[in-house]
Amino acid sequence: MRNHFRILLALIFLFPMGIYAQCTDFAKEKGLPLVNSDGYVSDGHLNTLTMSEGEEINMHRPLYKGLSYRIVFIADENIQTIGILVKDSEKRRIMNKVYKGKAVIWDVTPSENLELTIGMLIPYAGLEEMKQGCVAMLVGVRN
Amino acid sequence: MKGLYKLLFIVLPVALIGACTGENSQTKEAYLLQEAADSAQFGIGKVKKVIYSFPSPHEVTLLLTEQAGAKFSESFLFPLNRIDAYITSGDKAFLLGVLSTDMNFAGLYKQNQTSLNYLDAVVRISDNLGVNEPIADSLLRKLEKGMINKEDMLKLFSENYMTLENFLKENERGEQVAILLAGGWIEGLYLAIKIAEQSDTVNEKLAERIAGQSISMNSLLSYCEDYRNTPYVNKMHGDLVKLNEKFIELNKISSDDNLHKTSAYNELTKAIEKFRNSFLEISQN
Repeated sequence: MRNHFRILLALIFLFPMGIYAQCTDFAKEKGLPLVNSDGYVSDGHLNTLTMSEGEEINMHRPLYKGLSYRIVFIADENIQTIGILVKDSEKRRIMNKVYKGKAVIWDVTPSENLELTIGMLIPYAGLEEMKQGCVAMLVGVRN
Repeated sequence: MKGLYKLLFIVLPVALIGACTGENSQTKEAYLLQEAADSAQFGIGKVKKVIYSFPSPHEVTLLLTEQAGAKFSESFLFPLNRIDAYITSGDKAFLLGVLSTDMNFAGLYKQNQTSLNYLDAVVRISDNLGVNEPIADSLLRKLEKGMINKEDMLKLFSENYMTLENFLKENERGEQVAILLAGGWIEGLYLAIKIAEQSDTVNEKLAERIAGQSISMNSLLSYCEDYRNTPYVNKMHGDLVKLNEKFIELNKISSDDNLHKTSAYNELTKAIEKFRNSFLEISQN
């Protein structure tokens, strides 16, 4: 009984790590090739996690005049739709779109320094079963 | 507002074109999304995570040090013969950031052997910190043989940094990520100052870019906020706040006013050097 309890405890602690590692592998395997192309090189940050329908993540990201950026939004096969909302430091909306599929590539060459809030949302699909899966927001840079 | 419209014209068309072109178009096509509607219902669901993403050593060196006419000098880099003196995990994390930026700087200027020496040091310090994830062997072998182009070399460094940062995050060592980021960033600013001293033209161009780093400062302060219960990060946060005051002073001046000749710029560059050196000197005690 005691051993069962220990195993259960270990599983409780290790399960989220396992999911994170799974998402890391997903982001590296599927997302990085999209970032590391056309002269862009990844900024080295692996922003990845599991998300369910109705959840959103926000990334605060400075973008600098003088560089070009590639921002890749990617989700695994469990997720069918991604919402993207980009706002500047004055909270003005630069982009607000919903895309069907698995990945969006957004190339940006800012004409001034920007402090952006980049949001990614998994919209409700309206099905009985709530979907959950890995998502990643990756940034590439080139001059 | 005018600036925003200008930005939109540049950004949005590039986004759509960018999605359809490129050498990996086959890979991309398999994953690209089709636009379905034009507004996402944000703000009604749960915000699962807020990420403060910060320029990595690669981005900082690209922005601040790659300048036409600027010359590489190994004397700008942190001397590798001092790395063994660093003992605490905080100092090692800061040093790792510094060395990662130096490695990228050497890579940008195609100093392959120097880059390799710094990569070796980065791997050693990472190992000391308990990060023993292997870096991309195939690219490393190419680098050792001098058979690697600049872009692939920078990808290798980026991948190495990613492995390092990710390992620390996975192991809930977020405070070390904050220190690593700060070390890498401050070294980028330090290198920019050293390069700027080479010529007046470079200096003026870089002064504007250095001033623009105030927005990175905001992100870094926000990131550090969560880890202020660690003495190292708490001290660093306090010093960053003081450094930020210099950025604020500089940003009050119009960029048309020969920024690099102002006393505010002079004050900022001194403060950057002082910050960098004070954190690198801690381990000398």
